[in-house]
Amino acid sequence: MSVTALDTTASLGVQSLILSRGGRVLVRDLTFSLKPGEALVLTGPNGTGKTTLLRAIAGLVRPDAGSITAAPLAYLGHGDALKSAETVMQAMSFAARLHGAGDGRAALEVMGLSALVFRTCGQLSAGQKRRLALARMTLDPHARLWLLDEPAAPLDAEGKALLAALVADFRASGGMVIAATHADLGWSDVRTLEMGVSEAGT
Amino acid sequence: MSAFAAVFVREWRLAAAGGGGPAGPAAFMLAALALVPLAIGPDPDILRAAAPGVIAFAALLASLQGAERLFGDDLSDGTLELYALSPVSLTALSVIKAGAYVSAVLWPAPLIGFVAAMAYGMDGPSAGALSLGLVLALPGLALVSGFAGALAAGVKRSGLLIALIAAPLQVPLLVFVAGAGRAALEGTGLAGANLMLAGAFSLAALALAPFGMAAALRGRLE
Repeated sequence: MSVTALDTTASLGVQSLILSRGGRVLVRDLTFSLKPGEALVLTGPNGTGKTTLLRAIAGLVRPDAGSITAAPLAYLGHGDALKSAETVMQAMSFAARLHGAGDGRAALEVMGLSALVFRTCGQLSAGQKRRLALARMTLDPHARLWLLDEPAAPLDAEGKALLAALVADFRASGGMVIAATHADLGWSDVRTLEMGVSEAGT
Repeated sequence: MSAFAAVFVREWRLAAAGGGGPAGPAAFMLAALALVPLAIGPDPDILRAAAPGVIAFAALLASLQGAERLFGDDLSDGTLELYALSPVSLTALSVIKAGAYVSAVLWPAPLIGFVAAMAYGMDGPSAGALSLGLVLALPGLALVSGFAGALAAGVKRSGLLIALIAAPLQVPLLVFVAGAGRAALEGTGLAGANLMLAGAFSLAALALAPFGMAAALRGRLE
């Protein structure tokens, strides 16, 4: 990977990044960049810093050194950030109002949740919650970079296929995706960064 | 609808519905105020004299009841990350949380305070002054509780930590609210000053606490 001149509105650049957690250095001198339409999958054993790297790119964790230049992004962490008292529709229309984008029905349909709009989030299965969280994430119209932490962990085969289609669409429109995962996501044309093996990124 | 309004509407709805809404703190305050006379005896003069302090104290404790839930669940389920990356800043979120806490959860406190004051034998105007004091103090109580809740979010046994952080900071409100009720009761003419000080403390908390809450939340997210 080479660091190219960065267009801050459309790409991601990570330069000489050092990240540590609890006194242990997880990422040492990592440099990579991502161009519109590209996807990067982070793999590697537990505890090697996949989540920390995603959180650092999102701006939630301060790096020890190095710089990150990221396009406007949407982040989906381990948690689905759903409230059990809210209905699916309430959760979606809140996110839509937050980002000033439609009412979210189309995104629910894409993830196969149209029949569940009046269920409360507490009544959903883990896979349905994940689908809802993914649908909600697509509502941010400004996001050019999706950061996904184990996006497919609770998803069934159909859910994984829907996620793959969602990601392919987003990339086709110039979006970038970084996902940390143990599962095979079945995405085409992705770069892989194996964490916890080499000192530097490829 | 702006992002700020969208978050407020959602937080208000979640606060009003989730965890029993106003029922928990209201029940706590009612129970405390119903039990105190059993503990200190039926002498009407003692009860009337104790009323302002006891009622202000019960309201303070009630305001701590829901503080654990203000940010704790949001931190564990990922909602806080969502907000941190949303168009609404964590400082604005802190104002929203405290505002929703007052208007959806703590609002019965002045009403309960008024009824309790009458039941303890205070006259109408004094009970009104005490109740007004609670109205003016509620934003301050909520902001201080929220500050403690933000510092303790995600910490084991955060309830203990919240009580230890918030209680000392809420002392001025306790003094001014009880002072307003007592001054009105004794006719010292200082009720107005106490009410203004209670309101001033709430305004000061509004100016300072949200920044402290945002800093605490940012630290909890790292």
